[in-house]
Amino acid sequence: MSTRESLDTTFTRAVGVFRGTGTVDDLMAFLSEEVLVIDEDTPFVLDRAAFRDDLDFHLGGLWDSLAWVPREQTIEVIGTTGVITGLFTLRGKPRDAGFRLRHGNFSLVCAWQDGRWIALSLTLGPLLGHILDGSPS
Amino acid sequence: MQQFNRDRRRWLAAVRDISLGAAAAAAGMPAAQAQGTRSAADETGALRQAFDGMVDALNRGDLDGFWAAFHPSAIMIDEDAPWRFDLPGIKDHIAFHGGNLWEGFAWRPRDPRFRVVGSTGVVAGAATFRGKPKDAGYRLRHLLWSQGWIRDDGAWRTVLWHQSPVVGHVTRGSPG
Repeated sequence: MSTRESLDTTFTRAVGVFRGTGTVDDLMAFLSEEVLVIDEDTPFVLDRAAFRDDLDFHLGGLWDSLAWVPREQTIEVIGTTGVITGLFTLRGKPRDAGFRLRHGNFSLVCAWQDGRWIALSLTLGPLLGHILDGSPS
Repeated sequence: MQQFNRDRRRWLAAVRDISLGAAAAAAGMPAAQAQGTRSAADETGALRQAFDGMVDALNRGDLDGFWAAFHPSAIMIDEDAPWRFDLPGIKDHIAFHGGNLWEGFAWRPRDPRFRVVGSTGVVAGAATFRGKPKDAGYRLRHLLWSQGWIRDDGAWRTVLWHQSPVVGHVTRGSPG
């Protein structure tokens, strides 16, 4: 298996928690102890513990269903560095509220360390705030 | 001149490695362990210096200096567009903006955080993008961003820059 394929496999396993094929521990195992996370759900940078806390809140029975679907994903490996980028759809139904559908872009910067891939950054950005209208009027 | 600078960087790196090995042997420590210990701090400092240099070049309008910090395979997800740019794409986009459209421009990072594992670096934080387009009022836009860097031939280079506007992040009650 090439390093690119192994990164693809590791990433797919990590986000399986949002497709019913994995657990939150699989995702956290992929994230470095030093990871920096920018989530479209919050307007500031999260460290690993804060991101886990946010995940636990959301996965603690607040949703009837929840999926995170990557789209048009690209993976590039340069030496011991891996970069994953793409678009995503977050969709699901919060309990006692209507469905949610949110589109965005994402990126991860990963390092090959001790025979495995770890993510040093995870960034999720909303499409909503991107410049879609005339500029600079 | 570029070849000279590459050779000089390699020579300096080699000298540093030899010095670290000698110091480690004197301390009864494996060379790799000593180098690993020193390299973490050294490399974080070098990454910070590369980041500061890139930002400074951008804010001075020194686009040659700015692009020198980018790896040829760099990808940018910019808040100004809802898709990815490759390096030629983002150069074209910035060239448009650099074409006498602005009276002033600055990208000010806020609270950048640095991470280094081996040859991989990450910087992330907030930023304010501000300036004045010609014939229009000033622009002030706040951002969240992350960057991926790799140490390539002794120098840190950007392979990813992802930024998104704070206005699009969820700041209201949820799910409402």
